[in-house]
Amino acid sequence: MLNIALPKGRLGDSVYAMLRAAGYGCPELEHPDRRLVFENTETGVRYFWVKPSDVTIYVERGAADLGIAGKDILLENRPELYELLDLGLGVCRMAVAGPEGFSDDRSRPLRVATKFTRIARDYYSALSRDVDLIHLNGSIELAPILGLSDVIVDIVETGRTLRENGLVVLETVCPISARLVANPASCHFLAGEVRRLTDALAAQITQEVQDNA
Amino acid sequence: MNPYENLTPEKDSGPLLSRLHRLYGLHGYRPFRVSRFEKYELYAACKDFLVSDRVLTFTDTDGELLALKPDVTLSILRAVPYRPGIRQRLFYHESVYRPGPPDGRFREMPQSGVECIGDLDDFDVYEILRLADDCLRLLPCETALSFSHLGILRSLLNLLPADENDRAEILRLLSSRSIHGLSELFRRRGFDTAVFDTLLALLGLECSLSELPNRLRSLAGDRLEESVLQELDELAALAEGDDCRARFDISVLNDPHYYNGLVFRGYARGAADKVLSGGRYDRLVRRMGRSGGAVGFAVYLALVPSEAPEVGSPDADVMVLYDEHTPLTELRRRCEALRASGKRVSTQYRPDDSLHVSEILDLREGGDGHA
Repeated sequence: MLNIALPKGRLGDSVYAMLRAAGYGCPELEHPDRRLVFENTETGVRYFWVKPSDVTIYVERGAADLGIAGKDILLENRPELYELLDLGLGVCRMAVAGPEGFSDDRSRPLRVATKFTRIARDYYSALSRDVDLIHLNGSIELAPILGLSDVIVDIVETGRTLRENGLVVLETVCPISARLVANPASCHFLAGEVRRLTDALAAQITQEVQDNA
Repeated sequence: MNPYENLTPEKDSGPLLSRLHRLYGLHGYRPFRVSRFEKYELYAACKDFLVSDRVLTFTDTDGELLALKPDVTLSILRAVPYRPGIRQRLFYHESVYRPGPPDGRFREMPQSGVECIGDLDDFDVYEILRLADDCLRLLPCETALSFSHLGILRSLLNLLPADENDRAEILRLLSSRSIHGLSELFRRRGFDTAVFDTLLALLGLECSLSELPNRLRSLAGDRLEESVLQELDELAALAEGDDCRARFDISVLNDPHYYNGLVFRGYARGAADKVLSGGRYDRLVRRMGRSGGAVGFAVYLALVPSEAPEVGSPDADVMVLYDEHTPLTELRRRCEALRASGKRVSTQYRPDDSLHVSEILDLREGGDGHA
């Protein structure tokens, strides 16, 4: 039985639809009640919904064999996991944003507000840019508006929130999408099951790309 | 539960430890103890060899800066002088102190391991892989052993115009088996797609040590250094017909700053992370200005799933109850008699519900006085 941690929310719904199309459906999960765990003994999968940012914790600690996590979480937390597939879902980007016409004054450290301090640190370190990182947990866009920071590093999907707050994307840090991740030990003890599911999902992704072409 | 919490060598793995030590002894390894403290300068000079560059330090009464050791191998290497033509086989059971998951706080991590140091040959390397497999067989759960040879990857990376950052990125992507990430990196940097195809084929390769050279030759023979293939030929010949369970896995990439040849990792069902890790680490030996080579591994005792306790196994065989009317000489006589018959005895004033015992001997006033 493969234990699979699904991220709650819209992304999780899309991922489950992909898994179902790949032959790993679970009728119990489609008629939700108050249960947290759903299994299909025929296909050998057990799903559970968890907070998106907790998926990697479940997988890294072996409570789940597989999970679906955003690349942003993987880059920020660097869990020791196998990253088996890019599912092409939840596509967005990690970007630097700031006021329109922003000009970087390199004579002083750049003040950067972000939820993703590790990603921001790595990005600016590669540019040899001295930064003052300000860790925030939400409403990141507020920071440059109130003068707390010069710029922000955050996930940008459509850019609408930025525009509505008078901010623009200044640089792209990296593309983000949902990834199928696996616990390394599980890949040794459930190698066949993991490979079959990965191959089925990969085929499903290819099929969807062809359908959308 | 945090697997690193509240575990010390004394508490966590008595019977397993005895079995490991017996096994090490069968292979000619002798026990070796190192001090819990080391001079900090040892680690300051070798920071890039450590899992973490954060070390717990303190100042001794004479002003010398000491550290709680974050690594055992460095201490052993420093303590054991090189002797030409000799292999020194040592085993240890020590704790290391370094930041660990999940919160990056310092922890005490008990390890049991072996180091074979000196003028080594392929037999020593093969033997250590076998010993690692035998150690895993002692664990009370299903286990698996994966291995690779860092020379394979080194050969392929040398074919690319990759800088240090590229190399680090390729290692990271390979160790997480991220084919899509490798594909993107090769595309972005314009690297030779033939090397990518070879890496892809190697990620799909799973075979025993004895099968490996032929499989490598058919997949990537012309791209690999001849010395690597020759070493693998020797090891494969030694492994021919053995029952070693080690399987090739190119994503086993133990720190290449530390290791240089065969590397391996052991997994146990029920343990989230690897429970054993090791390989050949001549690079570290050279870095310390020493001759010869070294190979070894460590078993991470805190991560080994514990043996299932026997259901209902008693804490003591007999609970002896007594009170102020019981003559203490009588209590002593009865306890000694019970112990003489091999029974574990717990004396109590009143029944202790938290203790599981097989029998109760009630010497209190009105008690029946029989076990």
